[in-house]
Amino acid sequence: MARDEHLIELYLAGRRIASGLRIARPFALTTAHALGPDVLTTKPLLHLRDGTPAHILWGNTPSDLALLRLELNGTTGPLATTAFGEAHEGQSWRATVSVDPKPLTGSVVEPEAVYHDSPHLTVTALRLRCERVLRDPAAYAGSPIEETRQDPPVVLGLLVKPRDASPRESDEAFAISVTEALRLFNDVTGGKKAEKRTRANQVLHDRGYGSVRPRWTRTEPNRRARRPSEGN
Amino acid sequence: MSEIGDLDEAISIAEEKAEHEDDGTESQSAARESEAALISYVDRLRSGQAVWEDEPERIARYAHLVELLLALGLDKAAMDLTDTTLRAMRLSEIDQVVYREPELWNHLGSLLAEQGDLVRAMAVLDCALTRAHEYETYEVPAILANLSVVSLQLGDPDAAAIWANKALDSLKYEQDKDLETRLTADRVRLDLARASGDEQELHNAVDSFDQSVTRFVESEGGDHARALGARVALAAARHDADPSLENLAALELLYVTAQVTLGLEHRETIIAQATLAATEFAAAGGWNGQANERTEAAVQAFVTAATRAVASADLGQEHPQTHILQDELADMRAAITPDDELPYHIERVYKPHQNTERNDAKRKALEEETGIIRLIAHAGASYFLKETRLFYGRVKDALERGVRLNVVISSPWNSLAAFMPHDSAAEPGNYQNIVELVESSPSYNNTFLPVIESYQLLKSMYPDLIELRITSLDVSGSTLLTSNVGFFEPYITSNPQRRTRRGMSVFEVEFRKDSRYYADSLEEFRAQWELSSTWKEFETNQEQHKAALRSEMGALASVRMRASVRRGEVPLP
Repeated sequence: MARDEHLIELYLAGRRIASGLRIARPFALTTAHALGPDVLTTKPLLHLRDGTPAHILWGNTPSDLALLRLELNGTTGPLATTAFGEAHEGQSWRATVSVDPKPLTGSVVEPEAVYHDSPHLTVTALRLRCERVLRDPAAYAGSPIEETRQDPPVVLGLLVKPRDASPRESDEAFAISVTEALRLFNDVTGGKKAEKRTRANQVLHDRGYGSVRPRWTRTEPNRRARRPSEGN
Repeated sequence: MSEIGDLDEAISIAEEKAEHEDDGTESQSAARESEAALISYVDRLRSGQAVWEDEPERIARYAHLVELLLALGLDKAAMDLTDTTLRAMRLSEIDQVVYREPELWNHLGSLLAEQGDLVRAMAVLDCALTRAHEYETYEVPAILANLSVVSLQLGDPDAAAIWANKALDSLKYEQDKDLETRLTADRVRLDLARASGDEQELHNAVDSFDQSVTRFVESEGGDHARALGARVALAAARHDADPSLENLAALELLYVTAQVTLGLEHRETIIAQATLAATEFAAAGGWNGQANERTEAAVQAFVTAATRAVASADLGQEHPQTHILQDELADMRAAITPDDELPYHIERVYKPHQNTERNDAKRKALEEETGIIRLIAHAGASYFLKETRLFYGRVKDALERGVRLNVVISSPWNSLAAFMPHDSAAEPGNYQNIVELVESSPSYNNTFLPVIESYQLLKSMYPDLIELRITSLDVSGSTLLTSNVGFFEPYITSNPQRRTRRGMSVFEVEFRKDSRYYADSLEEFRAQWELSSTWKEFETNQEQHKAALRSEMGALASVRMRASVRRGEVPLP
């Protein structure tokens, strides 16, 4: 399995325009600013390096994220081994994409920094410290960031453009966490941030009001030879 | 830390521990001390050295302490305190009903279920239901839903369906109340519909569960572990009903959500990963035997989930959920690997001093079986004779559940009769006396005939489920195969008396279905099964078997000369 199977590169008419983070086989994230306003409006068909077509489903300028749907056409690859994690203060990270010969690394300064705030939408991001000053922080935007020294990698988020309008030399960078991206695009967490709990308190919380927790049950042996699914 | 004085102090120490478990404010030695103090408090309660308080509101506090102990991973203390509490409650109610509150019984029942003691959980929940009816309280739907989950886990889908329908029926006019109960009962209906294979039933169950999940998420938030668990189950069911890539992608996203919301080690994250891997395996043709990069990656993902389950504080090596995952994994591996490429993997070796563990593992395997049990044994006493106090009860329970049992045992007339013990003054076994010697032997009268008698009784009760055959070939050891695991105890001696004595004289290995040993054992069982006689055939041809033994004894003249060998003594060169 490729180490960086979560990293994608996007091409428009044969020209590489951005990189991004694959969060599931048919879904990926990239940065809205790398696609640019024209592409976000006209939504032309993009491609991955291997020719897989990528449709722009939704662009969200405040978070600098765009969601892509990859057209797999029956060529579904295997499940990725990538794991996803939540960043905490002080955590070390590395960027998956290397612009310079030396990989970009750093630490998490603030896991929930306000990245955009308007009456309709608040977006939080990981505020990161890079171990070196970046001449053009936006050049790294679009790279996934991951926990260092993990194999398979544990992905924490996607680097986005700097929060302040004019990019200038800085050792500060921002990344939208996977949790925040899922909240923005899929609303799968029901719009609520998970409360931090100790493991024991989480177990108590999970018990709720005393309903017996159901177990995962096995496939019925006589139902196993179902037709395989390959359709989109 | 000094001794814990009373219940409130114990609860406050346990709550403090739960609060600061991960934040490093409690040093390791302080953590160990408080843990030891809690365990010692429970021990003192059990032995009557600490004050027991039996007012209903105090019993509810003991139940809360059980909950805390479970959350802290102190499973043994939790079980001991549950036992002590239930015992004290029973004793208090000798003359009158003291604990009227059905929620107390329901709580204790759910805690027993959580600890895997399903049979007692059922009894305690039954008691909760009786009290709820008697005192007309509002607890009824919650108790019914718990009864439905426990029935399902006990392998009684019919009862589970009745309880779940009743629970939902009693909530019919209160759509927005008791969302957790509704979620639980609807989940049971979903699991039953998935197992039934009825497409309409599955669609209805998916719709109804979908509504329950939506309401629960609106109320409790999507980050709630139960909400995530429910969404995963819903997505898997949707994929069952419509196996599209879209539905598979929904499961992938839910697994990502569980990872970043609850963490990789959380029980629901592990289950989400297992569900995704199992769904992917089926979708990529794994159950049709297709070994490709998708099915192989799905197996790898499932291995990760099962490994995390073993390491998880909430599940762990002995948790029934972990066993279910390991069984499924073995099935997945076996489905895509040709028998001759399976690894010779041994799960566990039991040496003679681990006889109890060995027997416990076999009991567990018999309890968990839902399909077919296969057995090759020299005599079969452990399985057919109640007085051995080994597996008879489990065998009978299995038959009662509809499990099939196929058994091969040795014929008393095979050549091993040469070892038949005899009075030192009497003539050793020979051409003339061997049949009489066998017929008067303790092994024939106290084992073979009672085993046959027990078989015939079971056959009269479960004619389509049980079949015993008798082989004239020698068997190389005792083999027990369930659908998921196998056990093999080789015989190191030909002397039947030394083979069948109680305990273990060699060793026994346990292996799963994805081991080559399982495939080889199954092949051996099938060969023995084909080459053996049913009891009826054996009875009809018994005289021929006896004649064959006589003639063999005639041919084994040298054996007559070496009677010491038949007594199990090592012959001198």
